[in-house]
Amino acid sequence: MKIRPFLLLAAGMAFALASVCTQAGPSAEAILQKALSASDRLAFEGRQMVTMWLSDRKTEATITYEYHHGRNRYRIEYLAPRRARGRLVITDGKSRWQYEPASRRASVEPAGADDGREAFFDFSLALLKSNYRFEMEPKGGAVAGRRADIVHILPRHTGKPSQTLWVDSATGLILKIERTHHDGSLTSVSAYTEIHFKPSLPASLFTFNPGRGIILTAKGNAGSRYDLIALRRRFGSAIFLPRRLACGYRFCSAGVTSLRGKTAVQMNYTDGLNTLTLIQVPQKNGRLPARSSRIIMVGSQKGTLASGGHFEVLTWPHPSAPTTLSLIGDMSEAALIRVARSVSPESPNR
Amino acid sequence: MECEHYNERLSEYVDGTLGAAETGAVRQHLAVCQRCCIDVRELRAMKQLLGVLKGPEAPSGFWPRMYGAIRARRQAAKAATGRREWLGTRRRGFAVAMAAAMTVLLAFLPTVQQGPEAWEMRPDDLIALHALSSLRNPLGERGRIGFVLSEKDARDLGHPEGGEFHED
Repeated sequence: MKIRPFLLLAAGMAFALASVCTQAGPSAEAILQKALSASDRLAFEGRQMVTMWLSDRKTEATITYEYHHGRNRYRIEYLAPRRARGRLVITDGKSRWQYEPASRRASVEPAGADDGREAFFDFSLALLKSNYRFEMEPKGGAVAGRRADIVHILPRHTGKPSQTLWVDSATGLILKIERTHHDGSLTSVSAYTEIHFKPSLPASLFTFNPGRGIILTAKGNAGSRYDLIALRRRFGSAIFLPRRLACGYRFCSAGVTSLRGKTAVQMNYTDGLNTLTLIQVPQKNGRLPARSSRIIMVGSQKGTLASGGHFEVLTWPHPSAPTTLSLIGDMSEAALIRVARSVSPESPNR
Repeated sequence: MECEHYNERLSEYVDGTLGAAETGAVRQHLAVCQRCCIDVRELRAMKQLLGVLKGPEAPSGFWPRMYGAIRARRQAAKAATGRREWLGTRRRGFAVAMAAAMTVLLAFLPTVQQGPEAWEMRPDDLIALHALSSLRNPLGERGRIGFVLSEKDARDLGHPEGGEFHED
């Protein structure tokens, strides 16, 4: 009987200690916030393996050795698959080079402006929070010998993919990403199998010097970017927009680009984690190759649906305009068709 | 600020709906602003291809050449008197008609070659454009998306197996 007060006191202290310990760890949201900016400020090198589950249930593994110095400077050396072995992708923040050893050809193009990133992070995180919930694994884990916090990003609505991140506890760098299709099947796993953080890396790693006999070709600019207001002002009723988006998606950016010699307008939508792209080409009856697609009806129009990895590509002609439209995203066929059916010319009064 | 002022008028400039003074001012600005020149090029391409503007026109000088050829043929036909002359005129007329026909063919051949039947969407091109926009997502799978993009570029660089599209 004399022991009881001591036991109560001990239990109370244990409970208090447990509460303090639980609260002391960062929240899932704080970890994601740290992860968003980590790649901007870190220098590291390491081996990464990406495994993709393809639509025919085959898998493909890509192995790279990478050097990163902040977000805008990186060098990626492809080790596998065999067809990509020796491939180099390098950027110094201003230009992006790609070298293909099999053809001994290289290309260089502008790396593209990456302005407004912080605002975009805030926008992405706000959308992410409204469309997904976060769950942390209480014990955490380890990737490439480093301690990691594990965060599950789970959709609030059905029909969306989910993602699990292993975030380096010390630096915030995302060490591993596991992505699951909306039907629950794994679509890809990318993970560093070896990683070394460095104070800095030599600048020579991030430039490409073509050796003798290598043909270097310059590619044009990737295209111009617009916000929706500028796009409407520019193209007016020539622009097609979806009247109904998939659940939780918002307009993200737009651009004018080139697609096999045709001028194309591209609009991107995001739910914070996934991207949906609408591409319109002023070409009647532009179609997907029959061998890689199947016929599908979009309203009264005959369209085609193709799968590339776990991206679905839906292409259809607009019924009343000389325009071919394509929707690309990691989304169910039914959801893609719903969005496609709502695509119509921009009203000048909007 | 000045550039923005002109940039907002580029759409009307391309449509030809600006007044003469404003058209002149925009033209002067275009002479010194590369960015607006690029925008005008994009606008023209987009509006023409969308059919917002008039359809494709014959190359400059085509119609004067065509009318000239017709006039020449008529005059030649009127002037014809003897068999030899008639034969010569006939030959000239035939040559002119052939030249006109060839001109018509040459003028419109590129349109035929770029027509709907010759142009095909490629899923990997569309996926590459999609992947490029997905790269901005800070929580996205940069490794996988980067590989998708590099495969597309590999095909463009003539890699024998690069950029292959996985089919069902």
